[in-house]
Amino acid sequence: MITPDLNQKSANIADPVLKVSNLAVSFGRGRYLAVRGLDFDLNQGEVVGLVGESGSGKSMTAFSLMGLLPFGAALDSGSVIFQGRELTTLPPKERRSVCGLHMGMVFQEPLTALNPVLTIGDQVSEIFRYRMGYSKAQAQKMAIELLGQAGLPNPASTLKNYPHRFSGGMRQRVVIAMALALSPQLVIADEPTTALDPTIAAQVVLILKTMSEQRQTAVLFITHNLRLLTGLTSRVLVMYAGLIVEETKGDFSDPLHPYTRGLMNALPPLPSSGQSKRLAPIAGHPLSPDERLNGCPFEPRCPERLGVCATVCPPLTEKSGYGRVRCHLYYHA
Amino acid sequence: MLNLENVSKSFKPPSSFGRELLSLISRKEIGGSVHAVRGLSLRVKPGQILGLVGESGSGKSTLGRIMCGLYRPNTGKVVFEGRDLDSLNKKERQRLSLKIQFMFQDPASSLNPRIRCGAALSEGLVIHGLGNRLERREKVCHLMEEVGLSPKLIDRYPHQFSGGQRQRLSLARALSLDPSLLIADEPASAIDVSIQAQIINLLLDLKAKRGLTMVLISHDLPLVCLMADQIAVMYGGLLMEVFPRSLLGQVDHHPYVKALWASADFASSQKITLEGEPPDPLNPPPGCPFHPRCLEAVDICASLCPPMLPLGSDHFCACHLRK
Repeated sequence: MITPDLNQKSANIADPVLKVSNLAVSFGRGRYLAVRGLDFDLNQGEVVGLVGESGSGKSMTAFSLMGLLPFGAALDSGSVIFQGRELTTLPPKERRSVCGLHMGMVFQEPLTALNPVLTIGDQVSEIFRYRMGYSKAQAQKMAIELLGQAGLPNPASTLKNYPHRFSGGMRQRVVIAMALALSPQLVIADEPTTALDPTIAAQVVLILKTMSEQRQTAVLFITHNLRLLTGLTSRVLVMYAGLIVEETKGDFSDPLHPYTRGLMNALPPLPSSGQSKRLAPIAGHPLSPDERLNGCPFEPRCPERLGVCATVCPPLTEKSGYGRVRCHLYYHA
Repeated sequence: MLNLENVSKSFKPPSSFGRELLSLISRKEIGGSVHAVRGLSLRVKPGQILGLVGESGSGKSTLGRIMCGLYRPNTGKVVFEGRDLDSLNKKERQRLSLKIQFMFQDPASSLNPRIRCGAALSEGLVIHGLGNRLERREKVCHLMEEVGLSPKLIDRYPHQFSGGQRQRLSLARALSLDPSLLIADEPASAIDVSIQAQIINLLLDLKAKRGLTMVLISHDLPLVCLMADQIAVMYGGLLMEVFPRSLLGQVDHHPYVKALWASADFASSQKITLEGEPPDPLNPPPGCPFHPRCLEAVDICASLCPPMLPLGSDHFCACHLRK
């Protein structure tokens, strides 16, 4: 068993757990650009949201961080530094040992993330046996404890059952338990509640939150549901057309970028707000991945565009008191 | 306009030799029926939007299909404009589609990929023998403009449209026969937030312009509260509460409605996180379907299913504690 020496704690606590710079992913030898250059970092124990519409490249970001890019997709550039170690140039075998032990992933569809022909017990205790070298009995005991933490009723009898016997919410609890089994430093949750009903989604988010807090695990929470993130995350990265357009507060209290503000206005208001105003949709369609950027990706749909927006893509600049924003409106101010 | 009286619908798995044999050997029934809708009454008022909210498996889509005659209920009556749908003969049934139209959830799978947009939109007109070829084409162009698509796109195939445009197409198709009742099953759940608002506004505009009556089926409570005049909440194949939008938050709601509301509003201070799972439609619990998860359940809830009782004008609630 190869275990890279990541637990040395040589890295300073203040150093980010994950530092991503200029990450770009494309399909078809650079014809379709899924991710066009991302820069962000995650601190220890921090929950950060990543929101975007379909096609904005949020899932491809998750896959490239885990080294799970599908066939046909390639990493064009960029570096992923995880605990002071460059992941993109790591040989596959060593990279594999980082995943699971130090990085976990919660997938969108729990049914496809679990193996249908193995019992839940086999799949959960496998982590302890393979990574930690535990005996079968020991691993079983750990698995029962873990599933109990994830809120599964009678975990001991659960172990003997197959995934199809469980509802979507229960399966997602199992997947979350597996991702957090070895107390990794980072968990990437790719739309963990999209396949679930609202009341079940609330349960699952709560489990993910408490389990990651207990373990001091940083979470990158990817979703298209803006409402889900309020109260869960400290910061939110908003993606559009493969770029981060804004890094804002977790509760979306002061969005700056016209796209983020547009999204907030396009959401049906909460029942508690009591208002029934007309929604303000964002006109037009998102940038398609085979289009090249001439200026700002949001320029064709932006109600506040300036002359410069069509030709120059604004850089992601720090705005004190707010976060970072990629918009000419705030560049010179 | 449309009245549902004590409607229920269950689905049986197709009988197979293997299952029969297994039932014989084990001496118990294998593969019971799925109780999707378990006896509920509902009234759709003309010119209003009725919002039907529920989680997956609550029977809301089945109810929508019963409303437009796609499914025949096992028991109960569906009365549309004074006539029982069950009493109609085949020809009258076909004529029904001039009055009631259904808009499907996923536009990508409800549009035939090999049929051009123009042909898909005029299919209803052809079936009912309305107009000649030129008139139909003109009508289709008009429809496309009405839903915000350029008539130039009339000869395109569905795959050449984006998700939002496809949803506009399926709306145009549903409106092609000028129905008086439109049943929209999750019209905005398959599309992104920024496009979703466009479709919602379009639906509201068309409703105002054409005086449509609509049934909006959705799992998204904020969306339904925005659009609907009357809100009906389903759980486990039964109605939990029916109330006008103006009463939202003003009255003591059913515990499930409260929980659903809390799950939509993550920022709210009072969090209600429900334990457990929605009921198994194969084997629904006795009594109130919500009692195993209910935070206010009392003894009677487990044995007796509460009836829908009026609490005010247009406000009905099925709860033992709210009478």
